[in-house]
Amino acid sequence: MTDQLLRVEELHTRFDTDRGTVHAVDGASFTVDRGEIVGVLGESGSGKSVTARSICRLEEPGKIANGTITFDGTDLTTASKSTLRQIRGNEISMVFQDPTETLNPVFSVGEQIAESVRIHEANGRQRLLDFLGVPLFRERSAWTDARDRAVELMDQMDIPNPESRLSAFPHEFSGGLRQRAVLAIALASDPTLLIADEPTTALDTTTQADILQRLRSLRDERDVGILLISHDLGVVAQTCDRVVVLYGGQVMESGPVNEVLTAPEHPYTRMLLECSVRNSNPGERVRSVSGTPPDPIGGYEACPFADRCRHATTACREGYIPTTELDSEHRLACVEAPLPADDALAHRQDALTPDGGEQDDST
Amino acid sequence: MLFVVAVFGPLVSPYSPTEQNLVNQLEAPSLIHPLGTDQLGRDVLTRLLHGARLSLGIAVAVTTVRLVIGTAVGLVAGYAGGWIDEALMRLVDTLLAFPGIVLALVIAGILGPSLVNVMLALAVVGWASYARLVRSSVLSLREREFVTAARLLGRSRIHVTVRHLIPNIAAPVVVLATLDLGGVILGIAGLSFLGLGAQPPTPEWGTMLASGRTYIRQAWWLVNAPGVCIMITVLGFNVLGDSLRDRLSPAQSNQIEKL
Amino acid sequence: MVIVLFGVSLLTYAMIFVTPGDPARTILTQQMGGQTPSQEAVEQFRVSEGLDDPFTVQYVRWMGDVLQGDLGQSYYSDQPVTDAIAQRLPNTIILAVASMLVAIAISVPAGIASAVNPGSRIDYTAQFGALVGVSMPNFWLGYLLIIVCSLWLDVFPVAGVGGLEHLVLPAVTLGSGMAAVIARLVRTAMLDVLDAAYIRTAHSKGLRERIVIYKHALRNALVPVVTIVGLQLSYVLNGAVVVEVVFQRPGLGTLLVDAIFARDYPIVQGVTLLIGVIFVLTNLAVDLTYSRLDPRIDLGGEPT
Repeated sequence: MTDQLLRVEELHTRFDTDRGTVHAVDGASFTVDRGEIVGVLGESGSGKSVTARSICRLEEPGKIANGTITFDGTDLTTASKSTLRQIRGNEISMVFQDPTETLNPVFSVGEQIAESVRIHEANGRQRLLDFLGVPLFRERSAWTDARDRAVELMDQMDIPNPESRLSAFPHEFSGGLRQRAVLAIALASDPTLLIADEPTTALDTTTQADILQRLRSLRDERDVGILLISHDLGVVAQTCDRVVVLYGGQVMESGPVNEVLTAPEHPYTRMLLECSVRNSNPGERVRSVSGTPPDPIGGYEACPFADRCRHATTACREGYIPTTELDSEHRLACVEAPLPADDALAHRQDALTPDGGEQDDST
Repeated sequence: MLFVVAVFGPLVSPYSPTEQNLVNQLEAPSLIHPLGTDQLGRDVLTRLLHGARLSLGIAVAVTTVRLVIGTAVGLVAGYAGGWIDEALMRLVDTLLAFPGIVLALVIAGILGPSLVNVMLALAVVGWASYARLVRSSVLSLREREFVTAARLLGRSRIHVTVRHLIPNIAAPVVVLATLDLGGVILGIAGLSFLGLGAQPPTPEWGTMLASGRTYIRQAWWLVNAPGVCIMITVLGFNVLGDSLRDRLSPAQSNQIEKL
Repeated sequence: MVIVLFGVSLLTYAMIFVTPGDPARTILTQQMGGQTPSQEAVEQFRVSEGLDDPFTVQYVRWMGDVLQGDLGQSYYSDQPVTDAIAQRLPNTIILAVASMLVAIAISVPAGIASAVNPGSRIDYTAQFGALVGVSMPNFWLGYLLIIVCSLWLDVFPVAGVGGLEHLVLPAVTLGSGMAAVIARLVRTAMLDVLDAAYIRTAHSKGLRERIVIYKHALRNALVPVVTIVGLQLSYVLNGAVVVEVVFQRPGLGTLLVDAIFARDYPIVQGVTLLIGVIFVLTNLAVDLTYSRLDPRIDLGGEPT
């Protein structure tokens, strides 16, 4: 546990809306170590993205109501704005889902990467006029260096002709190039933790494979800890070391990928596996998930999955569901476990290829 | 509220709006004359109340004319298409190429200073934006299924227009008209202020303001009382228009849908 | 664009043409110092000035002159219209520019402040202020400022032109109304932009809040704002007429109003035409600026 980079404990993030308080994240706990890719798996509306944003403290307009987020010894829930800024500029980087939206359309890609480099270098001393590019007040040599570094980063990300593309605008890039540019921005600060929120959802299958390969090499070569948010079982299975299954803002099951996805104990994990089986026996119907995630207004007193669960009992609907440790790594939040073996799981191996085509409309 | 004041105000006021009383010239606000008297000894409050009736009446009339002309032109342009549309829209562009008041000023000036001419000028100048709004709504509605369906059923153009198009464009047009009312009141007052509209002794707000400016040193209330009236009236219409617009626009997206 | 310019000129000319009354008689009456001219003199004048020709002929002749920079002569003085306009135009331009600056100086910070703290007291104050500003008749605001600043406080001169001190009150009067419109727009645009994903990216880079707002958000919000600021020129010209009268500034507005009352039609025509043309050209300039601010527009082609 000496390598532990991030520890999220009992995180509660809430949104006040006209219809009541939404408990988007409702007591999630997990950890990320250095040099490890942890997947957060769940359907739309399960609280994945809010969890990711909460870690960066970009949860607005939500509020963190409870819990701690410890990054490298610092509690981010109580850290000051300037500490957070320092950490964002140097330690934690984020990659968001849609690269069309995450790059600022009115600045050149080079400027946006160079800016990230400058933040990292000039830390704590960001002068407005310097960043606005007001000629007299801009530190020209520093920006020239930052540009050079940007070219280097674009080159590392295999963006062809980085010099000539420095002054290109985001709309002149293809989707894959944009996401590589976003990665370049994220890596400009040489982070120790990278949070990737559905980084490949908007991309085609080949580009997806390429981006995932990059994430793995970041882990292997730079010892970066990565939190990969995805709704895609295949992506998680292919890329991650450990997985956290999220439902209704709560952790259903967590543990090493090969354990959780080959021998799932939680009925929700099982259901996810079943419905992602694609190349199952010809003629057999693929089971779809019945029902939709509940509306998390008001939070849960019981298991959030109980209403859709085949094995649900009164115990599931009443009272707190404790988390049990199956072994030191594998945790489970289900009172009905162990469940009888489910024959649909016979095909689970087929499920473990990324499907890439599925779209997730959550943000 | 404003309409109540405009309709009943003149009935409760004890003084005549035009009768002169030279003994009480330029009296400061007091209990007898709550907003003082003007250079001819007339009660300012009384004149303001009468002015409210006048201003609102004219504003509603002008806006109605604008709305009717604009809607008609917009319907014709949107529905007919082709060169008729092209010609009408160029006319609209030309009208919109002039700052409204300047054009109204010139038209009213040529016709000669009078309240009726100002009304005419403002009506002629202001229908273009209605036409544009209606035309674009018609264009988008024309392709919609219920219109196509009605036409396939062999309904006449007039029938389709009255039965299907007008109800659907009414809401945005009403919002525009409400917001426009404030602008028209400002326009009338502005032109009257410049001396082109209502002529003294008509108790019109803009005219009152203009004649009050001579006495600005001795009687500050003469300029400010009508000014406040104009502002509050216009403010009222703007607030009303804004809230109508908010209500008619697609429901404010709930926070939860943004998650 | 050309069609609109043509329409503007046609409308300007036609308006005067349909004027009730005989221009020849009016002009001669003026030139003869109020005496009624003889019938022969009127006829002769008509022929010599070409007033008998059909509308199209007169219009084409007038347009030909206009294109050569000749707007005709004032009925009263022998001064060419272009000279009269040239004399007054600088004052109006100065007023327009100054009031634009006032408007931008008030509205942009106010709009940003409201958008950054939506629902706060600052926001409500700014929004209420904007509503009042939109509803305020600028001729009244002008007098209000005269009463308070000139008569009571005695800080600025009441009227006239001259140094900077003569410019302050008119510019504030004209600028505040515009500021209200722009502030509301800046607020809406900023609220939209602050919600965008790239703002989150900018925050996640570790940028300071201020830089995020003034660099990343403002630059995007400016795109629609520039359009409106450009279109507000219409408001400036509308307002300038009134404000110039209030503060007795010799400018295009006072020239126009005086000419209307004096029925000095060549001047009315000239000024109206000029205002229409300025307006159309500004809209063109706005379109051009627009594409410079938003790199996605000027390419117009497919992304590479």
